[in-house]
Amino acid sequence: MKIRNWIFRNPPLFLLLPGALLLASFLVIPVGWMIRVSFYQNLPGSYMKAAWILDNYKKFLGDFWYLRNVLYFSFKIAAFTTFLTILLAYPPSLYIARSRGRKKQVLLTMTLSPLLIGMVCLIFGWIVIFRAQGLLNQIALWAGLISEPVKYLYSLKGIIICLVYISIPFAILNLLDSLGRLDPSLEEAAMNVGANRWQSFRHITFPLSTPGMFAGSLVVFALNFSAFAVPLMLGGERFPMMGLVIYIQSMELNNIPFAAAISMILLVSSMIILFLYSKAIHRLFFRRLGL
Amino acid sequence: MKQKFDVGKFIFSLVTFMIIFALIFPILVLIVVSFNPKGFILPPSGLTFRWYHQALTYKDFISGMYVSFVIALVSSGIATVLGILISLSLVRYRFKGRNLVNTFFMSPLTVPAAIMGLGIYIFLAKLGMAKGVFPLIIGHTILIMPFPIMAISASLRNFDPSLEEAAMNVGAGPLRTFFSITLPTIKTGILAGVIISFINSWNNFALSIFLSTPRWIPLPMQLYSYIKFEYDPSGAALSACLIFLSGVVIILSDRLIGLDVVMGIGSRKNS
Amino acid sequence: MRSMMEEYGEDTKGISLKNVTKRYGHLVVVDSISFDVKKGEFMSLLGPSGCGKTTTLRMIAGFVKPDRGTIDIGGEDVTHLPPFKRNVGLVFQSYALWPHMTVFENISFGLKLNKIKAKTIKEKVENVLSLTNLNGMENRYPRELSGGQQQRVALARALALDPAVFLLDEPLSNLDKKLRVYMRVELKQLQKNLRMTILYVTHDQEEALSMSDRVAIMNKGRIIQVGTPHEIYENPQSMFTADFVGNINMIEGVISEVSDRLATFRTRDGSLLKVSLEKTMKRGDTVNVAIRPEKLSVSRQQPQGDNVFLGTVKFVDYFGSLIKYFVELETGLQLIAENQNLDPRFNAGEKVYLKLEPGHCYFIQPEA
Repeated sequence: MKIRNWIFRNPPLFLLLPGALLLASFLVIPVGWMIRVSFYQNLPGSYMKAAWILDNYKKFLGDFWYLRNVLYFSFKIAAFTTFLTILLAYPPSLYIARSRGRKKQVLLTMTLSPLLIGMVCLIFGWIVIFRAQGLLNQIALWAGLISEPVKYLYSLKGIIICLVYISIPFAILNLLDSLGRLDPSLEEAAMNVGANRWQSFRHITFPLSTPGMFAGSLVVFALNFSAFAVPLMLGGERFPMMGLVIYIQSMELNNIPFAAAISMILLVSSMIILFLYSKAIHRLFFRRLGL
Repeated sequence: MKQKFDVGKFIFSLVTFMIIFALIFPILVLIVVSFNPKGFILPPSGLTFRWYHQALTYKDFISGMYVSFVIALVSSGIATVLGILISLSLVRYRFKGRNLVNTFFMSPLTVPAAIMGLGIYIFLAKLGMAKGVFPLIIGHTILIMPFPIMAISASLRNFDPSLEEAAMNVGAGPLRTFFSITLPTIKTGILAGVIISFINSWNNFALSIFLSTPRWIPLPMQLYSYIKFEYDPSGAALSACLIFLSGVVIILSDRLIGLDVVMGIGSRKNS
Repeated sequence: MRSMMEEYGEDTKGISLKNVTKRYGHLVVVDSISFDVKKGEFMSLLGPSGCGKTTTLRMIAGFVKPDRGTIDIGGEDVTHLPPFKRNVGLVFQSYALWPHMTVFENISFGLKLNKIKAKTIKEKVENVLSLTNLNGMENRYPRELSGGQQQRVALARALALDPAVFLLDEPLSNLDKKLRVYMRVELKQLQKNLRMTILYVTHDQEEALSMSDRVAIMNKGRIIQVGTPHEIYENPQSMFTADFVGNINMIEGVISEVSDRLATFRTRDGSLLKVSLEKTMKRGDTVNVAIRPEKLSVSRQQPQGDNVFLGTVKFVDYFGSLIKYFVELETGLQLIAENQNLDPRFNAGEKVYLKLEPGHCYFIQPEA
């Protein structure tokens, strides 16, 4: 009887309960548990032993190799990839935002289709393209994009290309959100006072699209910083990004505590980076927009 | 009528279409290779279904499809049902901490795949359930839960509450109102939620790799092993099949729901 | 319909449209219109929604390319010029103020593009701010301003560039009634003081009539009539104009008799009206007679003279300062009479007499 009363008096809580329980049990608690496990002791050859030691953290944070070639490396790649992604995602987003009707739908579908197709297929597609190295290089040389043949497969360039490819649809979605809300009369007003198309873009459209760029960059950076599938398939262990290292340490080397520690380091550094980034952007840009 | 050639506009369109072409390029390549008798050796020398035959009769692929289908079906089912409940409470009621709760339910999107996979694995291992079908289902359900919530919340927000009030005015109780009035009206949101979550589970690779056992290997992982060890055009054929399937989903959802709804939600993280 | 070309002795360096046409697929939105806005004139383009007035405005501003015809501004042919090369000041219906710029930056943006010196810009902006009563608002952002203030910033922005002509697209439609009336006066005064050439697009006839030197009536892509507010109201040349501007009673009938100064007009239901003779009238002509409601006097006692009709008040519409009476005559004809809110007042169901002076109606040729 009491329970029934409680249900009627607090409908939202009752509705939320099953979902919340599930999420709490299998996401929150596991992550929390992982924090605990990161202090465990790894038993080589066997499983692990309960403990409270900092060895795992020391192993990563105390080792310059890890710091430079994994953490900093992942950061560099993610930052560069994010920059490239936003850059490349902008023209299509602007174009699509300005089109209408059928054309818009078709273009939107084309640009967002990678999202509906599994990562494995997409990466495989790029592997096939990269294997035709000869062909790719010929085209790129002819187009003037490069000055000498480049090795793509199992190279850093290939990984970056693939990461950017997977990230662009996410960036486009966020950019479209911002650009789509833009009132066209704002651009018209600019042209009316004498701004040509480029000036109107530079002074009106572009500044007003910064929220979309910002949101997009957050999503893309988070995605790429912890990237795992792309470096796995395209680089093997030669390009140890954070996500990949976690996988190798846990699933191949069976060093669970170490992997857990790296996961924590990944989460914390991600949060710190994104926090600092948000603060910087807000200070530089968003005061004017009142956001 | 005089019309000057607008260089700026031309370059803008050119760059845009080059980028869009680059986006569909790998997909095109896979499709072309899958029909090509000489496989990876381009230019295409003919049309063959050999690779498709090989792919679709390959037992690992078949079992992969079965596994992925079962897992996707179950997890999207659970996620959608939970999604309905959660959306209802988030949209209809105002309570303290509502934003926090919303963020909480969106959190699977922000947790990196590797960490989620590892975490669930360790935790379930402790509970004695190391890997297998149940961990996979649980993991996938958690992963895709935000999608039905987003889809159904959007639908609910556009829903006019006076429709429900009218029902209650003529005597329908809350449960009856829900099933007769609310549910049918938000069915587009529910459908969109089911489709998006199914697709995300079906395509998932990063999470599955932490939770699968030799007996339960989802299709993306089968494809990955195949590419790693065999690398022949039947991998492309399978990929092409999956691509065609996605195409069918796109067309279907356009007919049933409207493409913009699906696209708008379909995608925060896909790993 | 007829195209209107106003020829004036003096220099018409305002806006000039000749045979301007715009089609969207099979739909002709603007159908070969021609009209002029004289320099220093306040002209309204008045018409119902969808008549093509906004499209016309956008063609003058340069956002839409006409399929045919030419547009001159300040004596220069601008038909093929892009919008950023035209010397027009546009005030948008939604104001279109840039949210990420202050009032000062909004107003000075165009000046900065023209590479004008900072000191000059400052002076110009201050000047324009005082013209529009916005002193002290330079550093505010649009979101911090009220609707009326935003509207004035939009106006200031247009003023700052000293354009040859101003185009206003229903600028007051988002304001509430009192503010609208106030802004009307302000706008008109500003125009007079600065001798601005203004083309004002609106669907509100009250605005058009009260503010304009001349009004162009537009419907279905065509200019129906151009004239002063007085001409438009007192001398409508089509049924559309008569009905669109103000209220009208429209009666069909035949001229049954003609004498030296009066004609007798017989309505379909048999009422006889004595009307002033028009030179072109002959016995047997079919005409439409249009009567403005305020020209019908209402009384309880039967008045002397011609054109007195007995009827019953069917419905009373109370407008505060005016009262409209819907009266049905014995013959079945229904007329609307409008009186000021003064005694005597009448109620529904009363029997009243309506009287009309013979000179107080218009004749409009039936549409072909």
